[in-house]
Order: sequence, then structure tokens, then C-alpha cells
Amino acid sequence: MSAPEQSPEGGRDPQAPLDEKLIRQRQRSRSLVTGLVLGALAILFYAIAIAKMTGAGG
Amino acid sequence: MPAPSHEVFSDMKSAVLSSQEHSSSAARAGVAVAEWRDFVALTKPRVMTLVVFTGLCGLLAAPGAIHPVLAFTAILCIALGAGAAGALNQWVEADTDALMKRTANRPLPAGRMERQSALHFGVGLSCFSVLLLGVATNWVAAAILAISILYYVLVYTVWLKPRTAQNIVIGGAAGAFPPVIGWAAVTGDVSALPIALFCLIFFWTPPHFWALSLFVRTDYAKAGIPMLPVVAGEQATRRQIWGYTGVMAIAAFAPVLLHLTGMIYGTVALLATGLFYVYAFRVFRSRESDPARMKAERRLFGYSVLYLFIMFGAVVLDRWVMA
Repeated sequence: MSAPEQSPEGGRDPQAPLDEKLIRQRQRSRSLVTGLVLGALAILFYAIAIAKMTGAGG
Repeated sequence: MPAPSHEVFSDMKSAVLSSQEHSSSAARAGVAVAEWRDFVALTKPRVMTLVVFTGLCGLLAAPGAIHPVLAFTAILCIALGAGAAGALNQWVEADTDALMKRTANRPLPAGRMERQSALHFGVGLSCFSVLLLGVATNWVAAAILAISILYYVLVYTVWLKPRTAQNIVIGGAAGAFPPVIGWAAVTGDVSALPIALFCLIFFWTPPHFWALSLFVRTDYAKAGIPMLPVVAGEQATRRQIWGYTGVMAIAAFAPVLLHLTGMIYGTVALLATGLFYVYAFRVFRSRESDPARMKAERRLFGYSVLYLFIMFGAVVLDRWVMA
């Protein structure tokens, strides 16, 4: 767990946890989309390999 | 020495902690953490539809066969290449985009994304799309894709756009490459028909873009971009639109005159180009100076997009019926 955000005066910054939550949420959704894109690319590369081999064989 | 599994667990734990630290420091520093949607917006998806369609038509009109998976990959690469060029364009123009109402909400000027992220994304996507197209189809198509990306970013965006009112006349070539790439993906070369299709888009771009720039002129003026209406005035732009429509018409009939297409395309070209001429003539006759009331210009801009869809659809239909 990260430490609570401190304002420059030393007090707790009320905005910080909200920002941090938003950033974490965005990072999570970006990771999810990146994972899906990588999965789709793996399938595409497999399909390209098969298509190339079929073409070379035919 | 810890066991490998402990090492992996330790690495994962430190990665999670580092990610948490990063998000905390990002929040503290006010650094923009872009959403995945912002990366999609960076690729200008609306512009991409026309690029994908013309690329697909070039591919479908080409003689010979291509495996459906490879055809899909070729179109995907054209789309990704166009998206990469769009991202790099936004990276270059972030400051001027902030000055225009039409573009102020893009991820970079709106502050939703770091500039460096856009650069990395654009360069990465460019390299990936060119390499994938080369591996999946052939290196002629990949080389043309690379040239089109470089042309759009370096020749149009960096060199011509901020310097000359003729920016979109010469720079328009960048948008004319997709049907050539689609054709080359199938045949491995470039022949007369894809060059004719290239010319059609090339000469279509000035009337299309100048119609838009007439009713967003104030935006361009504010950003200091020397678009023709800003530099030469509205009437000169209207005359240029009229003139270029004539040249575009010659390019539109070239495939029929050179016997590259048949009467289906010829008939569609006659009707669609005739209507384009009517809209261009209304713009030529217009004396409206209030952008909000420029109906003729808005109609020409809207129809010009439809026109390209009709013409390229007709090329494919004609080639399929003739075959």
C-alpha cells in the first residue's frame, strides 16, 4: 500500500487518493486492452503462418 | 540463493509495488495517464474509414488472388499505418491543435496524454505496420506504406503545412497511396489502374479540403496555418476549387479512356462527377462570408466524401463484372 499523500504544508492532500484511484483505474484498463491486443496478434500471426504455408504448399 | 519461483514472486511483488509507486508519483506530479481510448483517438479513426475503404477497393480491384487472412492483414496494416501517421501528425501539431476549436479536445492539447507517449506510439505503430505488411504480403507494398507514412508526417505535416498555401495540393498525395498499397499487396507491383486511382484521390483532395477550410477558416487563421482561404481569400479559394474539380474530372474519366475499366464505372463516374461539378459550381458562385451560413461549401465537403466511396465502389464492381 502506498503512503497517504501529503500536501506541501505537511497535511493530507484530500485530492490525492481520488487522483491515484483514477490513475490506477486507467492503468488497469490499458493493461487489459494491451492484453487483448496481444492475444489478437498471437491469433493473427498463427493465421498468417497457416495461410503462408497453405499458399506455399498449393 | 532463493528458488526461481521465489525470485519470480519477488520480481512480481516489486513490479506491483513499483506500479503503485508510479501511480502515486504520477498523481503527485500531475502527469497525464492516458486512457486506451485516447490512443485510439490519436489514430484519427474517422479519417481512417476512407483510407481503409480505398485500400480495400485497390486490393479487390487487383488481378490475381490473395488468401483472405493475408488480405485482412494487408487492410489492417494500411489502417495501422494511417493511424500511426495520424498519431505522429498530432504529436507534431499539438501546439497548433490547442489553438483551434475543432482540434482542441484531442488527447495532447487537452492534456490527457504525454507528448512522448504519442511519439512512441506513432513510431512503434509505423514500424509494426510496415514490417507486418512486408512479412504477410510483399515488400513492395510495405515500402509504399512506409513512403506514405513518411510523406504524410515529414513532407505534409512538418514541411508544407506550416509554410505554404499549396500544402494540401502536394501533401494530398499522402492520402492517395492506400489503393496503390492494396493493389501492390496482391500483385507485388504497381500498374496503370492504381496510378489512375492515385491521381483521382490526389486531384480530389484540393476541392474536398478547401471546401472544409472555407468554413473553418477562422480556426486556421487563429493557429497561423497558411490555408488557401487564409492567405488568398475566399473568392480565390472558390476559383481554385472550381479549377481543381475540372482536373479531378479528367482523373475520374481516365480509367475509362485508358480502357482500364468498363461502362459500369464510366456511367457511375459520369453521374457522380457531374453532381460533384454542380456542387463545386454552387461554391464557385457563392459570395457567403459567414462560415455558419456556408451551405454550399458544407454540401460540397459532405458530398466529396460520399463521392470517393461511390467511385471506388464502382471500380470494384466494374472489375468484378468485367472479370
